[in-house]
Amino acid sequence: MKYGVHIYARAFAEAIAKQPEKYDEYLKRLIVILRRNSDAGVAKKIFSKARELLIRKSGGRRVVLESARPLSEGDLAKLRAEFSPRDLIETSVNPEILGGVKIMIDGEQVIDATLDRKLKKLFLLGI
Amino acid sequence: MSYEIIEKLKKQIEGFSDESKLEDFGQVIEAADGVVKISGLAEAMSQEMITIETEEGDVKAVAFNLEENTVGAVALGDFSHVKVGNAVKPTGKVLSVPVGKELIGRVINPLGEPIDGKGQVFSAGAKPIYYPVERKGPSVLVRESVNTPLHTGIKAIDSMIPIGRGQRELIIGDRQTGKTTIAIDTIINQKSDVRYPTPICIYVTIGQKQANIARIIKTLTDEGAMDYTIVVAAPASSPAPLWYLAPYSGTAIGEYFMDQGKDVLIIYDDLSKQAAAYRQISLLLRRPPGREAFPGDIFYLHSRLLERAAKLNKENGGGSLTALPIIETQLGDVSAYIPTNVISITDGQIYLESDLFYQGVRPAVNAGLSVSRVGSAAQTKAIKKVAGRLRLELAQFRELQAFVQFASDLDEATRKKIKRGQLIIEILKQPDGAPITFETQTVIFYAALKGFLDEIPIEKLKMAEAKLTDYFEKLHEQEILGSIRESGDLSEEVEENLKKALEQFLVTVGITE
Repeated sequence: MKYGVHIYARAFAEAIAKQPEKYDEYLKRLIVILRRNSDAGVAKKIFSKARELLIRKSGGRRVVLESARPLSEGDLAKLRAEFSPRDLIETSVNPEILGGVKIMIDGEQVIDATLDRKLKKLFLLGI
Repeated sequence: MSYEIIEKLKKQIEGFSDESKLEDFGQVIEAADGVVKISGLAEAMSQEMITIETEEGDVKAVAFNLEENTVGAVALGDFSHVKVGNAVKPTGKVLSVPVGKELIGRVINPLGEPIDGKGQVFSAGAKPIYYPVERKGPSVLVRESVNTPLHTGIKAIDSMIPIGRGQRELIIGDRQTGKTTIAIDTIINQKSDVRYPTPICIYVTIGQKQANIARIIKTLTDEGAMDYTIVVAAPASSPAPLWYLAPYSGTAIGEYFMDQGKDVLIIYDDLSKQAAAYRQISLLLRRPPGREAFPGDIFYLHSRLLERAAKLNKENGGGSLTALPIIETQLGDVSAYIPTNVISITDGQIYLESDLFYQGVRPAVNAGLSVSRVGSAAQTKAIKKVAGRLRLELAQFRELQAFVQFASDLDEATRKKIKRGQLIIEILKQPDGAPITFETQTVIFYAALKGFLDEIPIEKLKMAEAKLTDYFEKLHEQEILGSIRESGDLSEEVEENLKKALEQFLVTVGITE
């Protein structure tokens, strides 16, 4: 990799923040640059990071809701209501958590209300 | 019985509370060779203990590199279970070890966990104190200069390279020259040094074979030295981060006892291996390599460790921490990177030479290259009085050594000097595992340097020394050995008695008429 994911993402996010109307053009240019640098393989990561940076710049947070099964519309709406409209809400399914929900904010903080963790904690008590 | 268990379980289930709250968290994004890169953990501290939640259970790790977007950490437990995507939780605590007098007589790993199979160190209800593994050394204001001797029981060291409590004396030499033996003998000797309180000894072993460690522990146990010794072991099979941490953990334990006003002796066996482990970690963390591929802060690695050795003043309890680091050289090269670093940090060095070792001079101490920069201030007066001339006479002998073969053609004075030199070298020889108390050493040096042993042929000297020791222990225990032991000095009266006793000895053993 010629540059790190963070560097690409930051450059792209800063350019977009300055001239949001040129989004499409900048996106094309970024893809060309990534191809030229043979870094196209990490494009997905770069876009995800850039999106996170843009949301953070506008005062929002990137929230990932992880559940054991796909959340119903009702549940999702209920959870969405807990966050600011500026936040980016993503969902992911991970059957390993058994039940409940895990809320990850900006990849740095977590509210772990999963059944998996509760069971682990119970077993740690020596039961 | 089963009713009790059910009741207990019921209570635990009823009392089980689990509220989900906002917690800091990170994720493993890279894992290789015991080193992990973690995203998130923006609030992590340097040297903070973190927990990697793997499928097989939690693995402890320490945050080392705090970078802009990631944290570089080294795993302290079983690294094979760590996978990319594992959740990482900070503990909010810098790496620390439990300390207490319960540790005495135990063998622990650098995290404070027992590895001697004798069960938990601290009883279930006990709340041990935790000391941070990394701590700044005591400041200038709380220290005082070294003033109490720490006898090693090794004649060559106590006479020429005296060590004081709170000093840092390096033991340096090639492999198989007796470095560990000196350290172990020093530990064993502490119980017979009744003039001063017995120090707590901490033996930190880094990267040694488990069989060797077991042998050392057995020696210490057989000699009764485990009653005041703690072994901190990071054997060759343990991961590099534990090798790196072992000296700091040992020092943290030592500091606890020093803070209680006690004397502590700590041995780092050896720091060259620790430096190699640190080099490994640093290279894996992609820190830029410098000379011999060591990272830039390799000097600080050892200087901050050895600065923690100190003699505290009375107002601060008067405790002390004496450090005997060991460094292994390659083919006697003391000018390599790590040896020169540690030589410059310590207050002197005991240099062991393989040539001397193979000549049969054991301990193979090279008196010319060995020094003690502060220890002479703490040397026991009795030894100072009798062995003051030892170094000089030995140096004079070394100059004349080339002429030994032509001894018959030399003048009387030179011949005498050569004879005296050979006698001193013979007297300084000592088998391992047999440390000698300072009062006996005083008697031996007095006899050797005042010419009482001049008439004895060199090959019979060892036997004569044994007889001399035996003679004094059996017949003059109280009035000579006892009074030297109690006063630490050789008064005129005792000297007179000693002289008479020696004359008597020579007659009894049939050396002079």
